[in-house]
Amino acid sequence: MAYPSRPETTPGYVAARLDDTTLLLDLLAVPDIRNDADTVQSNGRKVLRRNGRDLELVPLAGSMQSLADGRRTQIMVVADKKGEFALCCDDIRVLPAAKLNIQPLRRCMSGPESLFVGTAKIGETIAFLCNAEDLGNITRQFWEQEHGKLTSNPD
Amino acid sequence: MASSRAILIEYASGQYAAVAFAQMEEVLDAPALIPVPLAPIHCNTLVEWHDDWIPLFDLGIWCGSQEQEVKRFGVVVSYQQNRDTSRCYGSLRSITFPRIVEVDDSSAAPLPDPLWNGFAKACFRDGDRVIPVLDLPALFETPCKQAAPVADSDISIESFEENWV
Repeated sequence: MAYPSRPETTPGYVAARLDDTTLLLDLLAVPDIRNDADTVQSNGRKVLRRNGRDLELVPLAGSMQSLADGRRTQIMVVADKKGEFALCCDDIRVLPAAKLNIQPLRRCMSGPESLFVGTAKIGETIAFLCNAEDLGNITRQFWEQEHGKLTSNPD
Repeated sequence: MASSRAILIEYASGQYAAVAFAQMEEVLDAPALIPVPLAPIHCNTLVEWHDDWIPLFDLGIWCGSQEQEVKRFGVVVSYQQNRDTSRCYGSLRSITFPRIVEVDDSSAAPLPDPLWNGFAKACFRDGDRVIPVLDLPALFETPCKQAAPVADSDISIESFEENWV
């Protein structure tokens, strides 16, 4: 697992809440933030049209999500080396890096399937730092187990 | 004969591990837990301590114990990865309130299980129990995939005392 961008290399972070979990992601890995009103139906699936492509909306899978259809209203577009994916979120905030005190998680909290590498306090909430590559890998893995390959990432 | 004080942590029913007395910072009674999704099951919660969040390590789960005991206490411990680095903090789950024991060289013993190789600095006998002395930097700074049991011979303990600081 690669260490995420450090505060001195990024202008800010995106804090995205999904249920009780708040993700923290390098702002440079988030090219767009939209909401449910920007989505359309395509082949029976809800997608986000962006730069001439349809991005399927994906939930964050596994232990972090208990998605009820239509509940999440905000969408975070995340870019990694494999392309872009659109993650459904409950709430999204953009915070300057200087406002956050990010502490690395101890290595004993990482493993083959872990995602988070650091924490930061945002108000009374703890946010978990991850990087786009790991988030993309886990999101695609869970999505593709149930739905097949993301059409926005055909390779 | 050199002797030291150790803190015994009951990580599973009747199973103990030790840290040096000087490594114990505080005992938390039923601390509030902050879950960390997708973290390894033996260390998937944080505890807020002195404006910081520190990992809560469950040695019982790490050792493969299937019992579901209530581990009410969190024993906050500190360690340095080397003498030039600042102190780091973590915590260990314990069923019972930690007990202080006096240990001397004569009680040194081989490790009870190869699982502890690389994660215990020494081992001693307390009554009929064999108790590993935790190598805290190894325990808290080793990713889960490297924490698998190692089939190897027991660690020989040249000097019990020098392994405690």
